Amino acid sequence: MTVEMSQAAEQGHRPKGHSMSSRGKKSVPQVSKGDHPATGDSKAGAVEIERFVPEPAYFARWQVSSSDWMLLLFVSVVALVVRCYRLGVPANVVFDEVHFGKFAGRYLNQTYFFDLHPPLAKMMFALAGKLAGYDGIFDFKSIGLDYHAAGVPYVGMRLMPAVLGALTVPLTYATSRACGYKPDTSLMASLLVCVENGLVTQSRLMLLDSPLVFFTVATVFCWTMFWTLQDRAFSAKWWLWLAMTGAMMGCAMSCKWVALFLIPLIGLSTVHDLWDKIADRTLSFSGWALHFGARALALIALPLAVYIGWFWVHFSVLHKHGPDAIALTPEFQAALDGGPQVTTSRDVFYGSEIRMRTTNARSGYLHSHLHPWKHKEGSGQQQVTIYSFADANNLWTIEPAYNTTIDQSQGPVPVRSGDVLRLRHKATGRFLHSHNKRPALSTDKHKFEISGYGFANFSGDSNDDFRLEILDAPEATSLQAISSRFRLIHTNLNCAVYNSRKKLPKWAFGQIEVNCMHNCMPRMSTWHIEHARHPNITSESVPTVSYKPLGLLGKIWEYNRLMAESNENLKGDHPFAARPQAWPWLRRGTAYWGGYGRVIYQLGNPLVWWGALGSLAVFGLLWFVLAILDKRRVFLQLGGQRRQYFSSAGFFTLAWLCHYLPFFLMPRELFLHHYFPALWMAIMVLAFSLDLFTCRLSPPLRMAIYVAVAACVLHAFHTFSYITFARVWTKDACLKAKWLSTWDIDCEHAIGGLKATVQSASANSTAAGSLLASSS
Amino acid sequence: MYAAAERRGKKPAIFYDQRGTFDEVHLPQRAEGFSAYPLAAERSEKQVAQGAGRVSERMLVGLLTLLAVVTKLYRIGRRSSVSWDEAHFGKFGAKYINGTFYHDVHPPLAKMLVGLSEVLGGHNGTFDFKGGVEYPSFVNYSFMRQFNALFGIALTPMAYITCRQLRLPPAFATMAALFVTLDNAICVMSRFILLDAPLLAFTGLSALALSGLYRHRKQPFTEVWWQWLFGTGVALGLVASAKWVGMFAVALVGLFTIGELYELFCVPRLPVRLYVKHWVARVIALIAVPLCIYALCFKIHFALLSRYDNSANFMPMGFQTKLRGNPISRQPYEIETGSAVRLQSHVSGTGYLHSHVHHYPLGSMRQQVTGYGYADANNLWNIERRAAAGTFDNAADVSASAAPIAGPIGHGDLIALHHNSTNTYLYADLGFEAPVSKQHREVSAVRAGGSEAARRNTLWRVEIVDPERRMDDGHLHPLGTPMRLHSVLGSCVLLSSGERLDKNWGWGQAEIACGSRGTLWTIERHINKNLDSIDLGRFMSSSFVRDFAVLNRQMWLTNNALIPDHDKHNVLESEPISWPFMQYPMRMVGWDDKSIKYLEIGNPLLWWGSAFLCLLFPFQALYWLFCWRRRVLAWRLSAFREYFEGATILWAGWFLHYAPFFAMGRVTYLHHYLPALYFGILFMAYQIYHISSWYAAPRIVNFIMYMAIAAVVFVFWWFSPLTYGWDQPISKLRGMEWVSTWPVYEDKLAL
Repeated sequence: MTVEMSQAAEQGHRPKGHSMSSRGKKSVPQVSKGDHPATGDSKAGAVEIERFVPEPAYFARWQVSSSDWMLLLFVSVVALVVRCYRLGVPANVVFDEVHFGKFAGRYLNQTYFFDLHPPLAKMMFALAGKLAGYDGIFDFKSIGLDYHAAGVPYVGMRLMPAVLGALTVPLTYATSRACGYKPDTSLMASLLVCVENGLVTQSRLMLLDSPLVFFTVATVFCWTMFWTLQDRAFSAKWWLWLAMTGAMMGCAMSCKWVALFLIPLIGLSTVHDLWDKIADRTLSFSGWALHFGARALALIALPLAVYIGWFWVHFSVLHKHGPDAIALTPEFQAALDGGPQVTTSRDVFYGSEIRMRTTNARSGYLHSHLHPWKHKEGSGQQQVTIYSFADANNLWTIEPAYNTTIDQSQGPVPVRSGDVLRLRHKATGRFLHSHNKRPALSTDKHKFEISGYGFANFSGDSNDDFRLEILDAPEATSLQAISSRFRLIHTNLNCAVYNSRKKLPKWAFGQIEVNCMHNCMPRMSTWHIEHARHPNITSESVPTVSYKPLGLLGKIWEYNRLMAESNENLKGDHPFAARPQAWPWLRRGTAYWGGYGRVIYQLGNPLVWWGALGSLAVFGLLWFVLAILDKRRVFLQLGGQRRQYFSSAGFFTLAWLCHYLPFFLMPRELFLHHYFPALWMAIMVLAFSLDLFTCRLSPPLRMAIYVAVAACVLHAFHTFSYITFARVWTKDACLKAKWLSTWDIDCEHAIGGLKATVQSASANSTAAGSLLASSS
Repeated sequence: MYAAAERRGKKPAIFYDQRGTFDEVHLPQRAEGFSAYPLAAERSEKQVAQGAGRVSERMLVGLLTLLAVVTKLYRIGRRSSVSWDEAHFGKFGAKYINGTFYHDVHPPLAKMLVGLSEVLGGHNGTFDFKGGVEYPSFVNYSFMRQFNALFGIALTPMAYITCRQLRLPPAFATMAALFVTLDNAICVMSRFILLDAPLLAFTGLSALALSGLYRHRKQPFTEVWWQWLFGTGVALGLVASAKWVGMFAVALVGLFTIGELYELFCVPRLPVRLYVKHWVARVIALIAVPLCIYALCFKIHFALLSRYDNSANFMPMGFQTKLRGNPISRQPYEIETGSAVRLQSHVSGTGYLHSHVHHYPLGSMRQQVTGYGYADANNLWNIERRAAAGTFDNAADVSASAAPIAGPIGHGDLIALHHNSTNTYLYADLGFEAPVSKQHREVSAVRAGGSEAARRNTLWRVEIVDPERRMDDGHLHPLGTPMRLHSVLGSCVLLSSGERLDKNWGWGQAEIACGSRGTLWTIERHINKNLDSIDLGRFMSSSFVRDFAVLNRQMWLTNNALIPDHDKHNVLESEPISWPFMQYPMRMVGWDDKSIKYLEIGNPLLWWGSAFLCLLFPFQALYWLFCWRRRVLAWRLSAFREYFEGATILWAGWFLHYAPFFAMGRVTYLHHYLPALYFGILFMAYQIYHISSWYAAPRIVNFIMYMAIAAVVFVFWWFSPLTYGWDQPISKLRGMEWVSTWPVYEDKLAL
């Protein structure tokens, strides 16, 4: 697929130094009657000789004229009006505003929170809120809450995505122009984006997608501008647009991970460019390496730096410990203000009371309590589990092995790697114990139950004995709190105390199963001591240790791993979730809100969506047919538009593929709004395809077609403007707007519907509202 | 042409060949930072052309084969007990003698060959090959191992011929054959009754056939070309029928063929008719022929295994009734009110419709209804007809408390299912969601005589789906009339969701529920004292295609169920990432001091060398691509193609036999790498020859060859105690642990 920005034939700007015969005019290599072995024809014909000159990459150059500036201004104003029209309606919390409004509040009162999206867009909402006067107290608890009553300056906060949404429209115009298209086609492209109901809906609310789409569009725009400067490599402007591409890409990725799909797009485009440059023998190898280096710097290092930079801001603002922080590693929590400050004496002795924690999973502490095992093949002895929260039942005392004593007359004896010892549960006095019984959940033969065993006047038995093995340390290394990573090996059964990460049933309070596993790998059987205290040592001078607080990169790494995990595990059953195959043809929208005779239903402008999908099909078909014909030495030129169309529409089709196909591999819950970046790419293909099919027509006819298309699109926009702008409409009109039976707009909220009449002034828990319990 | 141009002192021009690629290029010696390879690749062509097929070369192959015979058969019967997976494959081979059906994850060909070796060795099929047991006197295990070793031996001449077809000179083809012979892992895996040797041999045969096809690619439709084409098809059929790993060989040939067809497509003015002929030839030889061989193996497999075994219970009923000694053929024919039936689900893993005295701990808290895999009294349900089809207009009119109506049960009848041992009725409840799959409704059992039993929730409408042709009289019969049970409540059809109930209250049995998409049930057992049993086999039809498809599906499911536990250390298993550099050789037998110990350890020089060269090759290819694009590639293009295509075939063989294992969820073992290793070793020999001859004089090249052979022989000898068995304490064998992760002396990760 060609990704080169193309030369507008009319303009005639051609880079110097290349022979610029376009493929259309170039003489087709004449091949004499073949003597290919496959034909079985042994007569060798003459082979015509031709110099091998690879075609250089084509590109347009856009000289911004005053009419361009006028048009840019015009579309900006129109877009701003469309995006900001009745921004204050509804004055209620809509859809995911519950999340992003709340997060803005957390930034304002600087309390740590976790979300599965990167921070930039949320911080922009926080900034907008701060400027508008939001105090961070209102907590956006549920959909439908009234903003006026709470005194939240929500219009100011919604203005941010509206402005960014409006800015995508002039950027669309500029991108189209930079691809070499005339103002009329560019105007058409920006119109299609301007009146796309889905994009408008998205940008009128506090949602992350408007910033995401803006930065994605900006990245592509900067990249096309960069391509117009092909023949002025390393000029200031060239550097500027290259760096801008990287910076915008970094910002887009800092809004939502969906923007990661820009990486294959810009990456493939760059590979294509560099591939062409290899063939350019006027460019020395070091020159080529310079090109490579510049792109690596601007398109890899810069976005990464931007991403890290926004996280730096994020962590600088959120420096206070909060309830969300409990899921973090202790090292991370230690880096937050007001977090639990774990300080414990460093050395561990026989007789020390300890609290031990799973090292490679955030499962929690080794725990026991006065309840028996109740599973079928269990012993009925006291439960031993893993519990996530610190409490007194997590405390164990280290005692010497069964039937042995330790001479403590010379002071406490340190515990060493290789020692055989027992752990006595402090609260109940039982010993950590394992035996040939099946654990509660794991069925495998090589796993054994762990229990608490013992009673008064009974000294236990040898099944209480565990051998301590400190990992990556020689025998007899003394055990230290926090820094020593160790395993406990049951001496009789030769099994390791193992965190199975399975949730126990209700009778074990949903805690996590721990069992003793034979031939256990170290990863899930590694523990460390978080708290150690010997009753006889009270001196202040004992050496102590704490968790080492994480640095910035450590925090970013852990936070991003958590994001990846929660993304993977996002498997809700939201009623409006949609799989990718339903997106492009707009099978169904997403209900956002309803009340007071108004509905907000996230649906696109159907004509734009279907037109975009059709144009992608047209492009694919043309590409396939022409590729086959080329191989058979039949060259069609599409009225001289072939290179122009294929380079620009090809780039955007690739962009669409990059932003669409990967979703099929994602098992997580997905929504229609995940399609918006891809939709923008498809709209560009639609505009370019319109240009292709009208470019040979007479100008008045072309104009007439453009006007007709615009009229149809505007009509559809008007039809669905009710659900976009939450305008009051009637049930009849609502039912009539259901062009497809699968569009489940809740018409009962409209005037004349059942819910519209029962609606009370406090739209706190509308029927729709309860449906809209949102995720993501 | 190039040489002539150079002689005239002119720069050679650039030529397009018929394929549109340029053939000769301008050749600057050192162009702008890109170094260029010398034009040494052509040097060998004369050498290569000489001597092919000469008497001396045949003698050479004979000598190599003799060496292979010696290395593979030396003291082959030394360990006289059932070793490693002989326990499986010896046993499966014996099944072909005693004719008992069995189920296994592998296709049958290689196991039938084991069976053949048992027949030839005089085994009567009674020994059960229990692991570690001494072979009894009537099992000629040495002969069986020798038979199996023949496949390992065959690799050596095949490796030689493959390399010759890829235009390696005889000396280096000899080196490649020696490498293949002297790999300790290939050797040791060929010396027991396992599937690896046949698999390797058929893989080698596929490689050989492909190399022949490649060599004759420019003479399509000649006799020799047809021979190679069909030879390739046969080899692919054999390799895929030995183990599914053989599919990677199919992929290799497939990619090669796609490449060829694409190139032909680009030939200008190639007549369409001729092009179609190219396609048809390949489709027949490379798709139809292997498929026929694969199916034929199953046909023979079914023909040989004619006795019933419990493991056949997933097979279609028609197949089961054809097996001798099957327990299901003789049953009463007509299902009537009062008949007790056992309903088998068509969802694999569900088993029979079951209920027991335990209750759901959630939902309605009523008695559980589950799917259970083993036949017992709790699987028996009495059928009671409450209304015959046609006697009511609307199911809503039928009372649930009506007395049972005698007579046969037919399509559309309303029935109630009475659970014998707990005296309950099958009951659908739309008011509760199913315990695990929340989108479905709950199905439970309620006490007979209670108020709930009088509700319409106990009524089910029978829908017979796709009955056996000879049983199609509108009535229910055992085995041949699959049915759905629709609750009269509507949109509630009895189904098995495929989920498992909680182990603690549901004993991990299968969940039974109802929903809009019901699953099929067949009456597997019919008990009615008033009726006589007849042979149902004559009503049942069976079709090979269906049996074949069902068996392959079950193999796939069984294969996918072999999932490793990543938290558990298993000395036998290893991750694909650890294979090329052989981090974890595998102990094949117990490691106590007395036993004869065999370690599956490769020849490290060959493993590491081939891994290094294979990993290097993509970077070389990238470099050449770069040079080609910049037109500074210092090769004559045809010579480059000659070298590069041969290298690519071997490298792709390695890659395609290795990379897919990363995507597999199932347990993987070191010997899964052996087919990839075979290609890797040939690639190594190929690269040693080419790379050394680019840079060095022929004398040096030969010297390198001799050194490589000497080193490989030495290392083979060094590790031979572990290949041929070590019967003393392992600590007495010194110098074997070259890498700290090798479990030669101790298993460091074991507890």
